[in-house]
Amino acid sequence: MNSSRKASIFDYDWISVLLYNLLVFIGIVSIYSATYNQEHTNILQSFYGKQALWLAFSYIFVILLSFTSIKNIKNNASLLYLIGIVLLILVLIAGANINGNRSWFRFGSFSIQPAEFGKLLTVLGLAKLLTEPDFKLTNFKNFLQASALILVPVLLILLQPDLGSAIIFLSLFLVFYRDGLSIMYYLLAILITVLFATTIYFGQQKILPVTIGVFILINMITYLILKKIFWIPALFILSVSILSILGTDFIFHKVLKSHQRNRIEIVLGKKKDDKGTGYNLKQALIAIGSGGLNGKGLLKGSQTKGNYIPEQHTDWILTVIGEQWGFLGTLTVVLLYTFLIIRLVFLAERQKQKFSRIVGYGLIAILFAHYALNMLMVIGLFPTIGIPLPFLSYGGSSLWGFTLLLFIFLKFDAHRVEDW
Amino acid sequence: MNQKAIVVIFLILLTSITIIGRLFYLQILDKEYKDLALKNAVKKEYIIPERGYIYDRNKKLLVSNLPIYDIMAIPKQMRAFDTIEFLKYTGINKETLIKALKRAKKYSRSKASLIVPKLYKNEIALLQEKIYKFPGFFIQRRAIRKYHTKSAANVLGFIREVNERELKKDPFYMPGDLIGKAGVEKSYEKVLRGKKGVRYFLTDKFNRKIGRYKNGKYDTQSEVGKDLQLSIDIDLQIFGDSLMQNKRGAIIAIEPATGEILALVTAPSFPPEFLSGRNSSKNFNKLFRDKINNPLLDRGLQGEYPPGSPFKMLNGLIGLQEQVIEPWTGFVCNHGFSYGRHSHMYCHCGANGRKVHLPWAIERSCNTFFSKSYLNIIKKYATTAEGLNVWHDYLARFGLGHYLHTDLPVGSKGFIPDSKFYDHYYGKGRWYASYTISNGIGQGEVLTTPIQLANVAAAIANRGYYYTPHIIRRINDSQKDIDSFYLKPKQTGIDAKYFKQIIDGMAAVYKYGTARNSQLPDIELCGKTGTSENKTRINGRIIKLPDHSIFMAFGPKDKPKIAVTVFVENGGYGATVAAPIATLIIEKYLRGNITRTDLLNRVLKTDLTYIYPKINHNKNEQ
Repeated sequence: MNSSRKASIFDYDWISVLLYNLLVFIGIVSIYSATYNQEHTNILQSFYGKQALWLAFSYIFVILLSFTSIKNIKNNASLLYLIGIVLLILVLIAGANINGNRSWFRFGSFSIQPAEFGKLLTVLGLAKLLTEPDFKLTNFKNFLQASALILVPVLLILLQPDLGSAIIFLSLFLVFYRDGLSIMYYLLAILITVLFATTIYFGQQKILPVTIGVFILINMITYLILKKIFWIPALFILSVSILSILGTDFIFHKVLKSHQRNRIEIVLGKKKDDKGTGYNLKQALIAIGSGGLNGKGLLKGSQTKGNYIPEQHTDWILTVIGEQWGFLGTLTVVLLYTFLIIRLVFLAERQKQKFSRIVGYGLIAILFAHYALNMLMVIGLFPTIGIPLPFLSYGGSSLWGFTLLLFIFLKFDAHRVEDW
Repeated sequence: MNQKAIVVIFLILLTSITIIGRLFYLQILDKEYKDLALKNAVKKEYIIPERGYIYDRNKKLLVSNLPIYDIMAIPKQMRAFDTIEFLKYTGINKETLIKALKRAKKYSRSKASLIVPKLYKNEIALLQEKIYKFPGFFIQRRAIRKYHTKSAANVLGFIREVNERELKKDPFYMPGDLIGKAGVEKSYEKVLRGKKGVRYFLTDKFNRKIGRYKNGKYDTQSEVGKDLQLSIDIDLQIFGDSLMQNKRGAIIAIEPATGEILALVTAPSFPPEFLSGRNSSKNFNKLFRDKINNPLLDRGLQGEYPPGSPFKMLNGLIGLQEQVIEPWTGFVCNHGFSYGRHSHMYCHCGANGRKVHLPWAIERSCNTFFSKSYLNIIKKYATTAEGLNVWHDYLARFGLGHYLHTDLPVGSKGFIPDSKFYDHYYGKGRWYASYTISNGIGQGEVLTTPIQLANVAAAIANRGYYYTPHIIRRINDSQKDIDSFYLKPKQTGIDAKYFKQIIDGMAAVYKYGTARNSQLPDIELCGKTGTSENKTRINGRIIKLPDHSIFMAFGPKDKPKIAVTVFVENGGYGATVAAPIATLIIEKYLRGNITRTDLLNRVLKTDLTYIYPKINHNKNEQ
């Protein structure tokens, strides 16, 4: 049972570490140019200075992490998950109220967003649960347990309310796919989403008959080819579809707030509101679009310098990259993320331990959701939700959360040959 | 590798390709965003140069610029402030402030609005020191005209903010820019305004400047407006104002050798600062509505009057040139003469049946002589129409009957009838020279403006040519930019030799004739009185109004330095009011001071204001 050798920090997957460092470096330069005009008395009051400081802390955490035993992490995963839940409850009670959201603990001028750490802790809790003996996702009771583990923090975050982070947590359901859940659930989710969007776009009166028509057509074709009708799945899908269509109006008009409705309608092209809700998106598209192939150069972006986009150093950081470095800049960033996430898939797949593979897929799901939704939002293909671009956007909690999650997995990966 | 992992990788790649495709479309294919970004961020700012100064012919400063201050505010940047203190510093009342702030907020939250306009330096001093106490407020400096004289408003004109029409006509102007609206401010607008500079700024979303666009690569410098040196002598102008007090009319003085206008007095007038500064709009309306005195009318340039006897000089000259009279031609005058069965031209020259010769005819203003000479000019030609047109063309060459094209923005044509006019009036071929006989003595259909008559005086003084009267003398101390039109002599078509008799006659007017009481010792002057009848039609009846008093003069006789025309509306006999005024102007200009204080006092005391309301009363009943 003796471990064959102790892994050192140099055993961390150097490709991932390199990609991580490239992204945080691009992030700091982008934050620097995004906030270049803002007055500050010293460098540690500037956003890029603070981000550099958060990065320094991140490195310290990584070093501290290398002294922690992975066994400790694994064994205390349930406790860590519970700490995460407690923090999410506490923030609803003791958190600072910023623009009507209780998402932050404030200590003087310093704030912490527990949801960012909640992702990491939930991933650990999920890994723990899924590696319990005899735990099978195909078992409905186990599936409900695992779902509840994700949905509890989702609900707590919705209470803040922080819709963006809640959606990110939902991405953890992707982990189930790798661990045996049928792809049908995901296709069903996609169907519901598509019906939601099309119902909003075309209206219930049009979509309902069209859906039923398409459904009958598909069944007729299936019958012509296979000479058989699959009544149970067919009727299930039909009822889900009809419920989604009927539910859309309720969710859209009763659950969503007016600015959220606007954002959805703007992305669907149903509405134009360049001065109001659509202002950020319009300005973001101007910034990115005006960058051209090569961009306008560092500190030369008129949109960036003019602070046309309020959150350009956080959620909208891609606009800064797009304007200053053009298509080549955005392409570089997209490729860096793509390489990093695919690299992590490879790393996750080479894990011997199920626990560490689940942590890997948790990381992949969260990272991918952030990357995809943030970028799609900034380029106008997804409704505006407030989520940062991992490693690039300004923010200590987010940087620390992602760094810890990444390096915990890399540490697991470094120790993958060890028998634990 | 696990199959599901491959699905995950596929999903990742699909997402990334979607993102890349969209970015490619936004950044490479769609060009619209580049323009939008420029429109967003690059703002042009114009640097308005200082307007040129205006001087008189002796380099006395007449118009300069005065900094004036507007209190502006950007509602978004405003914080709660001490209203009482603000009111104390600015001297405005609370209601005005509240109204202005409300208006500003309505206009724009992030753009500056005018809160208190046009404060002078001393009024803004207190606030300027304490402006830090009022965030969101700032002081904007601009310039208005400062006048160093109370005279010559008609010459100097005024400036105003451009209106919609002017904005459309000339792309030079932006809303809020100032433009000359009258006088030399208008006619020399392009010289005075200078050249605007342009600066390109990058602005942020609040329209605040955050730096120069491309380090000022496209910026241009502004050029200060050029200074004007006018031809008027401001002291002479002021003296003219004083002579015209309590009268209506005009004094025009021209330097014959150059055509430069030495004085352009119109009465009644107003101080030029009336139309500048804080109450300009109110004052303008007041002047505009004053239809009784009509102070905005420049009577020297725009007033059309029958010229009366001074016009006889022209008929004499044309007669001589056409050789229908000779220097010693005599016409019998017997208290006038009869020219038709029931038509008689009266004359009070006193010849009483003797022959009248040219100089004497001028000295005594003989109607007979000039009427006959006028008739002879027309009768020289085969048809009356042809003869009248020859006569008309001579007068046109003297600058009559059409615009003189002075360099001031207003003027009137006056009127010299030609055959077409009478054809229209009587029918073609149904009128005779005798129908128009009043033209011979400057009555009838003939109308001239005072400046046209002054120009005639200058042409006579020059013995046959004139320079178009103009107000400009130098632009930035040089004649280079002056329109060459004003520097070229215009020939009248009358030979120089014919002027001797006329001028001798005009000299005799001073020595023995109608203006002998105004005569100036030591300096030989030439002049001609005029008393022009004028009528108005009231309820279809023609009412005779008191005569206009006219005098045309130049001097000294041999080397004329000044030519003057004085018109006093309803002033009566030419010798009583206009002649002394003209002579005093000449004396003031040639000698610098007035020796005959008794004459001066008499003129100053002459008050015709009692006449005018009656006339206006009559006119208003029309």
